[in-house]
Amino acid sequence: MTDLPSGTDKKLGLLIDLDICVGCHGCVTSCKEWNSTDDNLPLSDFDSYGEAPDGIFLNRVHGYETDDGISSQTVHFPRSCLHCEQPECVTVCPTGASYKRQEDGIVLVNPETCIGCKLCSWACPYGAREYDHKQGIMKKCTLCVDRIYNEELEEEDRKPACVLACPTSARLFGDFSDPQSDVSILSEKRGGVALMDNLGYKPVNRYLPPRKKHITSEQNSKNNANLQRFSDLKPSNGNSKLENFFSWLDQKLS
Amino acid sequence: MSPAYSIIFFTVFSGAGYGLLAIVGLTTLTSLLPDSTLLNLIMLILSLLLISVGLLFSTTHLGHPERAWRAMSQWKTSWLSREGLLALITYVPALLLCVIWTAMVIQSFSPQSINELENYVALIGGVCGLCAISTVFCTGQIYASLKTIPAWNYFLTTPIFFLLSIVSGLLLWIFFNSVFSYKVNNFVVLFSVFMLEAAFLLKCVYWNFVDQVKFSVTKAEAIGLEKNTIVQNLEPAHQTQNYLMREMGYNVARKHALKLRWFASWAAFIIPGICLLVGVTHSSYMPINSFIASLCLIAGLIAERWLFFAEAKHVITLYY
Repeated sequence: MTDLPSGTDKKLGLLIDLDICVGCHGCVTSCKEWNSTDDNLPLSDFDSYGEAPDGIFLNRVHGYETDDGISSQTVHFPRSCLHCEQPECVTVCPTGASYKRQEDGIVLVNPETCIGCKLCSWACPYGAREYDHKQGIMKKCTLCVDRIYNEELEEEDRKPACVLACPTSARLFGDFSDPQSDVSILSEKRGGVALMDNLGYKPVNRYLPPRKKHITSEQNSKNNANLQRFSDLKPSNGNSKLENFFSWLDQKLS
Repeated sequence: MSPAYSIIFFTVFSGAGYGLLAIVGLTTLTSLLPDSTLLNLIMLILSLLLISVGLLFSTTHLGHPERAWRAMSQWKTSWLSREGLLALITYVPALLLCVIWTAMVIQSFSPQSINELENYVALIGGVCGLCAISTVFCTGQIYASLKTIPAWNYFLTTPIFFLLSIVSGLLLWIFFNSVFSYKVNNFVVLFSVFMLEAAFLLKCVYWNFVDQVKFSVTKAEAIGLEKNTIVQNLEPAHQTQNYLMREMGYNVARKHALKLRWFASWAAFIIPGICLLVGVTHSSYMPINSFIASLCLIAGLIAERWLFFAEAKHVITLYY
């Protein structure tokens, strides 16, 4: 049923440290590998060796640059399902194929009953759901539900594949409902962020923001001097005021 | 949002069908019901055809159309499920009405039992009209309830869907009445023109809103940074377009959008309005005028619906 549980016993989720993620895409490939094999339906690929290869991934890593000038930083941002407490992807589902588990809060899709209407992907603000048009159903992160409870695996392996693969330990897995869990403690200490909180989906996953660069006044003045030198070198465009006006007009009109 | 033709045709055709069904159903409660049962029956069948064709179009949007019946189950939370359920329920009174009117047309009842049946016609017709109206309301709510798409999450989205459906129904109703040489009450025509231009006004307000609407979150907040941090794309998450970019990242050039708005304004709202007003003063032109009005309206609405999708920006575009 797409009725949400009034509360979940646990709030399993990921804590992702943006300060130490190096954007290696290791989590992306290990996720794809685990979730395409064994009992899972494959995450389909299309035109793998052609002009425009495309495929389904449950986890993607974006690279951004923040600020400009001397305080500029590179931020690698892994994006996957945040297993929200108010997942509208679940409540909009007309078939009940999408559901949130009462026992651990994981949001899942039943591949046997999904009709592939794509409405859940419209309702998700994080782009966590991708449509597999080979199988005609929606795919999303399962928090490796088939690993974390899998007694055939060694205990230390009962974690999501992305967490195990991360070479910098930028990804932690745990229960956010337990204030004593590693993820809760670290999130509290470093000011873990719930993405786009004001939209009201109450994501469980948290992101640790990158630490600010420490810039000394000496570095700062050096940088300002350099900037000044570059701006002095900038050639003037030599256009008359009228020409500037027409080029402005051209830009506005085109 | 990507303008999927299956959904555009579904909302336009089924919208017109439900509008006509609502008018046919609700007129059974009033003195506006045409005397000819045959005419009522023809309009009823046409509305069911439009609805059914639209619903068939909509199933082509699904990955597993054969599982579509499952979509009736989650009416407690899902507007899509409510729409599907009501669409199905609407067939019950509509088909009942179909059977009764067919029986009356081929006169398989005694005159006495026909009198008795007429009481039921009003009841079933009323229920049918309400079901049709509610279905369109649910269609609007599917879009209006999505917080991820601010252009749709707006108080006018559902009223516009609703009005456009009713107006499509009214125009088709006027056309059939005038073709069957029934003089359409001038009040009905003027009321239709009023509704049509009211819809136009709301659409203009909506377009103005879409031009200004912004996300309530910033790119920085989307990746967990402080609200006003400058964020620029550096390395893409993937080299080619993926499902998210195709489905949610559709971008229409402003120039093309303006041309289409212009077309939709004339075709859907201005020309049909003029046609109907001319029909009021020269009633002999009414059949051809209402025919042109209906065709123009449908063409205009297809453009309007295309824009409804193409101009709506999804919040995940912040990541790209």
